[in-house]
Amino acid sequence: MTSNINSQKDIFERFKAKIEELKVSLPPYGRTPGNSCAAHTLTNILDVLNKKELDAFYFNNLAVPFSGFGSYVNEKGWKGPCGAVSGAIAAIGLIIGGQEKTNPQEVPLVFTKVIQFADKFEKKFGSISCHELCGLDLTKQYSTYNKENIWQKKCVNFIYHAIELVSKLTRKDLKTKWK
Amino acid sequence: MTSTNKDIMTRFDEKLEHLKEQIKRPNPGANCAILTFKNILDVLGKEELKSHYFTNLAAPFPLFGGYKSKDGWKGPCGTVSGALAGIGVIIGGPKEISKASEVRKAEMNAGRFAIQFAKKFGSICCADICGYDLTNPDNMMEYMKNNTWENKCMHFVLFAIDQVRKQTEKELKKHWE
Repeated sequence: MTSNINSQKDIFERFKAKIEELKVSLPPYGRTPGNSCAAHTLTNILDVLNKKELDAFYFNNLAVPFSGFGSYVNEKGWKGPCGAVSGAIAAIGLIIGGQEKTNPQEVPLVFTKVIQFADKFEKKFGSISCHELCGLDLTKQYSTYNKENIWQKKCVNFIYHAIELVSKLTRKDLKTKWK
Repeated sequence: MTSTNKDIMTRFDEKLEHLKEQIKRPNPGANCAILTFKNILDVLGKEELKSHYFTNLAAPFPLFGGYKSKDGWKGPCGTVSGALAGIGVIIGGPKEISKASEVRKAEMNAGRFAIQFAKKFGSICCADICGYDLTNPDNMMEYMKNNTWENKCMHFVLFAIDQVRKQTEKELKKHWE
């Protein structure tokens, strides 16, 4: 998922360029079966961070199940979170931790940022849950999801917004730990 | 560190036995998502999976577990999130999950894990299964006072690691032996 955006020096410029790049590259993935919003969100943020170790395919792989978790509904009606949200939350932890194991003193900051992320995401789209956001039960209505181009119409926007929100909420850490 | 000379199922058994003792007493800042994910990675035994980045990305998930939305939606237990990440790494094995069938397999396994976890503990939500809304500091005191980690949360971690092992046995033997 590497791109040429990393030739630009300022990390915030790189985030902006990444989102613009995704606006072109991401919608066509809707025509490809086997598409993970969680993996797109996490790996594209890691691409902006521009560290060799973060190119490892393990980051893509660990994120993929979170898209499936989004489709989960339990007997009590609890619905799984949007994969873009889970991917973004992982990225927040990784960014705040920086180049060493997260400083225990910064754990409350991670907490604050996660809650802020979830609040802002919910405010923007009306929910955190995949079902509510895309309006379908993907365990039963995946063909409708494809036929009605929900990826292109809705899900890509969750990814763009999640990436932008992560960059805004972790601004200070991006500046100091990911120069 | 679990020895990579033993077969993968034995390494899981030993890890679980070790953890039963090791995580009985929570150290300050114990994090159920990190404990779940990092201990699974430890059993897999690859040098590159020891990176602090894997620890850091798992760190926020218990905090997400404490999230409660305006419409009453509650975040999932951090252990569940840590386990899902572990499932992805195991199923992918030595290469990137990219084929539709592989993505589907990883996603189906996530659902299967959630079903089994909810069946065992009655819910996926952190607040439901530990019994506290941990965003309230007063509840955190109660959580500590009532030994909730020892009585409840550590068992979620042990179950999750074992369940991941059970449902990915084929991939574990194929990619991680």
